[in-house]
Amino acid sequence: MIARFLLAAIIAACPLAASAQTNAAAVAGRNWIAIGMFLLIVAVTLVITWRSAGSTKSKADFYTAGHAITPAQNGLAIAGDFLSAAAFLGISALVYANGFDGLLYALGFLTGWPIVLFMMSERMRNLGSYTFSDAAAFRLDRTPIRLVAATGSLVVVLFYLIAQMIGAGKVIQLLFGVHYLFAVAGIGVLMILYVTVGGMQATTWVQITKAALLLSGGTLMALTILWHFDFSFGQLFAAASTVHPKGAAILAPGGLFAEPVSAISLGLALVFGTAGLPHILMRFFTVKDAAGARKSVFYATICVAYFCLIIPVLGYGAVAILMPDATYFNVGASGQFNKITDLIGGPNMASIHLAHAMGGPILLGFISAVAFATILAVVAGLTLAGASAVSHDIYGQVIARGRASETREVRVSKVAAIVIGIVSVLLAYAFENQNVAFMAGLALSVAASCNFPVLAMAIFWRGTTTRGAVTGGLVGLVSSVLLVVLSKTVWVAVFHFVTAPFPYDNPALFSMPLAFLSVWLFSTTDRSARAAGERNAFDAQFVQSETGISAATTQSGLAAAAA
Amino acid sequence: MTETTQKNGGPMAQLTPERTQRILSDPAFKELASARAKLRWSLSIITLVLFFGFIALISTARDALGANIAKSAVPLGLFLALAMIVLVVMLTGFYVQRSNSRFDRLAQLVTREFGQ
Repeated sequence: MIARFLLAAIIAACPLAASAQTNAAAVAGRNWIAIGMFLLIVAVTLVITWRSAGSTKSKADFYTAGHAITPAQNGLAIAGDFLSAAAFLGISALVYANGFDGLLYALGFLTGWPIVLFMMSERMRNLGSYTFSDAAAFRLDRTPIRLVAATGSLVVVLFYLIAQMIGAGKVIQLLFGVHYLFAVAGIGVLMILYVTVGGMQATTWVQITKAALLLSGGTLMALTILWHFDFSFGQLFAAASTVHPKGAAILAPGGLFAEPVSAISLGLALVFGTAGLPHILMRFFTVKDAAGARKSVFYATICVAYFCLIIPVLGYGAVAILMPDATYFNVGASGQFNKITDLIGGPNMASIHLAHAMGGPILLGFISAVAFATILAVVAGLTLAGASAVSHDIYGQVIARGRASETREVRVSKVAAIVIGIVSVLLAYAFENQNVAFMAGLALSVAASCNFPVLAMAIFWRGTTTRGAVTGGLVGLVSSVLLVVLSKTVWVAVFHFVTAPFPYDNPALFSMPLAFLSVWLFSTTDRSARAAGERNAFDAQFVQSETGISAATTQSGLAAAAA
Repeated sequence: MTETTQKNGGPMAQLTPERTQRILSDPAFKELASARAKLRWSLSIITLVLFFGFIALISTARDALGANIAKSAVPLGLFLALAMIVLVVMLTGFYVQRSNSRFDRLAQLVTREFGQ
């Protein structure tokens, strides 16, 4: 039960959907300070977009901001891409409701980053230019590989996007009292504008702005809480455990990781899903070279880690400060209220209420605006990643076989961004009251079971052939989707069957090894001439992945550098 | 495997087999590739062992993790979780530091020799 709640709560904006109560406006009233700051953020991002508009002409500009983002900027932008509203509101809500177990999620999120650094960032940058499929298809047959990789990307992007949009719509509805459809459509319009007008340049700067806001807002909150408790963690923990219904149990591991199969499965999805998220992988191409990619991941890791240190302070602070104060709860006729579920707007609003408790309407307004900026940046990054999978991989490389003109490909990309935006608004509207936990869980599981195995095997194992990579990718994609559908999150909660055929919440422990196994099996048994050629080409790929020396750079790049 | 540069962002052209073999047998490249592989895989394994070991610890020794550290009000499990966060940053920092100081120099050597 607890594991299910936690799964429901984490991965993306899912928890926000659970808070879909309509006692919306009660949270903030119409907080004019919040609305003012919200409009300010929209204005700032639109100025950024407008200023970036000139730099979306070439493909390199549109997809990667001309590879000219510095590592520090890119590190912040990666953190901006990664730390969704779910991370901010969702994980602090988990700590609020369950204490220690919420912190473990933060740890799982963070642990993906060293893996991305050690295994992915540098080789990706050396082998590709625009999307992660470039690296996967480096020595393999590009048509089938790109189709699989682009499908995996689009599935991940769409599910993640819908989950974020539903959550975002709920937050905005809650904070500003606007109708859900307008909230979702407004976000859709903004993200389409950022991507189509400003390309990667604008998307990057929106993410940097958001990351700076999120980290400074979080710091401010943490400082006011610590100040309230005389900068003593002991006092904070003591105060929290005396008022929480679970008492001192919130300071110790609870039921979440007690069942090892679910725990390991979830851990795998968290750790390796990060290494397969297309919008994260795409960010490695915005810097000049592999060293830049490596440094940006380091900066991003620091930001994410810092955030993981702040989050428990917010969560435990919310417990200690909000729980004794009945004004933050829907109090029943009897004067009784549940300290977790009766929090106005649901537990996901814990950080928002906490801002009000600590700093009145001004801090409330600021933190609400931060939550809004958080959402905008994530959906913009996702839209751009989805649009490039369509335009670069499917249109540019598969349909036009690399012969499309740059302007045409960029135009396709902009159209794709608009279509993805409209589709995600419609889906977010259609699934308003749907449990979106499975979509977000699915996104990370597909990333860990399809994108990650294909990419890792293609760049690290000589034996990988097109047949193996395509089969393995499809097996990972289908099995992870199927197992999520057969799990109780969907089978019982959505289809209303009595028991679920697949007893665990997260498929990664099964679908990810299955994908790796399939890549191996269908590669080693591949005796075709094409397979032999692909294995032979591993040496050239290996040299380039380690050094960045390519046929192109050796001929023109260095000459240009020397000039 | 010809060195035809495909325009319009096709896959990067691949190195010729001759040049690939020359680079592969270069001592600086060999050192770069083997030292980096060693660092990459050992740090990855350490990270994964730490994380999944922590999960295993939680499912086996829950009560011990709930106990407070001597003379403080901070429980052991919470302290370990925070220590893990710091450790993850240190691991990535170590990798980046080693890469900046050693691997970039080796890669430059290789690029200078074979890049043109």
